[in-house]
Amino acid sequence: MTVDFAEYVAARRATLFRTAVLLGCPQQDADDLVQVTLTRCYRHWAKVSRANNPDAYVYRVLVNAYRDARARHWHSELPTEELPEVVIADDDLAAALAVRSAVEALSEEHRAVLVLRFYADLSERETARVLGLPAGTVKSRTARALAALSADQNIVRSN
Amino acid sequence: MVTEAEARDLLQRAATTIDVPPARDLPTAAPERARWIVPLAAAVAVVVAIAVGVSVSREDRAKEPSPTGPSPALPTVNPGFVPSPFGMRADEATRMLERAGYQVNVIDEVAACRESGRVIDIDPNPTAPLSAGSTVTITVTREAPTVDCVGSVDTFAWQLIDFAMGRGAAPSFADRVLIDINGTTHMLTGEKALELVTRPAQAGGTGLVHFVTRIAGLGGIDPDANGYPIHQFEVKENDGRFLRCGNDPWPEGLQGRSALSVVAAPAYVSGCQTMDVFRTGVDGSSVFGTQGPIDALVYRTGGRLVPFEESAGGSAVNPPENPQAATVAMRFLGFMQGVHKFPDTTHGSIRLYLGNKFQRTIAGDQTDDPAAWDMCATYAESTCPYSPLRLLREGKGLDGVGVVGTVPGCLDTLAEPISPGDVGARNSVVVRRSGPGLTCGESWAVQLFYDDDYRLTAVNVLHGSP
Repeated sequence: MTVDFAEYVAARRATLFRTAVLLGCPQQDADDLVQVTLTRCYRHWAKVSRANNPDAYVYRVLVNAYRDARARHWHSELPTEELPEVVIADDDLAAALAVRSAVEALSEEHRAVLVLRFYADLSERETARVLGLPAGTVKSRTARALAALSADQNIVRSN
Repeated sequence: MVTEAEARDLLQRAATTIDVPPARDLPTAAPERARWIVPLAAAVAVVVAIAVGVSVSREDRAKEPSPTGPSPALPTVNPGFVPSPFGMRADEATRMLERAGYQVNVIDEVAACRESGRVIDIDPNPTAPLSAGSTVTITVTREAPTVDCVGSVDTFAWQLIDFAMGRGAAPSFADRVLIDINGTTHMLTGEKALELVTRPAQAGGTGLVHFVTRIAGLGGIDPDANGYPIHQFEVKENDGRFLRCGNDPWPEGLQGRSALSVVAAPAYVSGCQTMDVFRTGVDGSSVFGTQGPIDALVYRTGGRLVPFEESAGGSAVNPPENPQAATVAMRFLGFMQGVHKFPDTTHGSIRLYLGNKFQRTIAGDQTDDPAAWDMCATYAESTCPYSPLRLLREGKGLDGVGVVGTVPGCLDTLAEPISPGDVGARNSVVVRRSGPGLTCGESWAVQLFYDDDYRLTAVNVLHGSP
């Protein structure tokens, strides 16, 4: 059964956007990145949608587009001023931001496997295909990434 | 060691801090070499980037219109999704919705001292999927003709909202502006203050633009909040005693000064937001009567709030009568949690009931005292005292807590249900703990009776037996 492109976008766009940001894409560029990804997928949608799991294909395009775009665009720093930073009063939000910081602090390799495996919800094999790695490498990187995340003292783990 | 299941949970939580901008048009086929042109052109067209602040690439940032001048109008939402005409004039909104293929039903909401003819509610919510030919209902303000107001009281609020939504000029700022974000105070030049309010949203961001676009329902569907951002707001005159989000102290120097308070009514979102705007030259008098520049802004975010009970399909079941009723419940919930003072929205005293049975009247000046809410009776096979405040303060937090329109079944009663008319109320709204996985003994409800002005008249506490 094929998935309608518009339906797929409606269902997955937010997750794709957040995956892009979690992978390390600056938030202000993530919308462009997702649009580029969707545009590329749209051209091959008939084929993509027949795949067992269109996600694996779409995430592969996303990761490639991210790598391309980063090489091309994201060298300069954002202009900053001495404006106040946002202070978060909500405990849950503070905890969630701590996790986000912990993910950002991981190495790029660790971050990619964690985000694709546990946020984008791809299998080990799919993650391996998306990243162009052997499945065994994904497995070992995942274990090391989980260990690195465990070592972060700032995150509050749920019970 | 973080397990795989924990990692999923942690990443989901991290993802909740990432605001997703509204959907763009679906891609159409384009030559491979033009791959950056399609999205970049879209980015230029989608001026909501100014509003939402995350979707324009840096190359286009230089081309953004100056925040000090009127910006282009908002984009329409993708076909098949409800656009947001929030804050538009009724005729503009109707045209916009009809262009999107919808039938339009207009409801007037009469209220005192408000600018007439503004769209303040959209049903279904903006960004909800809705097929062409369906009806969208918009609620439009109509000023009560019999009330003598000094000017149209919320005109300045609309000026801010128009600016934030890219439809009007920037407000003027004083040379020095105090900005307080959740209790941390900064002094900025007027120029920097303007930059702050128009700055793209950070995670959990503040800023006028971010604030207003959230209220306007332009943040897109938020799957983590199991619903849509709310597009309701209230404008109040606030001297610092008014209920506010969170429990941070009011900034020094602002006590006793009137502000325009914009409150996001957070029925579907977790985390309330308020913004208080102070203008010069209004010490001791009405903020609405002045034209002075803004010299202070106070933002408050936080105060955990809970969603309505959701059906499997995602729509609210047994919802409160309307968003104002939900706000009554949310405020009282903040009081129960200890993050707010008692909502100062009563006639002065509250009739207190336990299991539908009258206990006593709490005087207006005692409502902030937790002991005033304690009741003792033989009831629900538990031991006294019973109190709406103890439910959360001594309970297990917000697990299973929600706001609904009627009292759930299985709770013990001592008398027949209370008729709203008997307590000078129009209707009631309920903060309750119940649902799948909770036994009757773990369930409770606080029924809040409100009058035509949404002021509390009576509070009824119901417990389930173990």
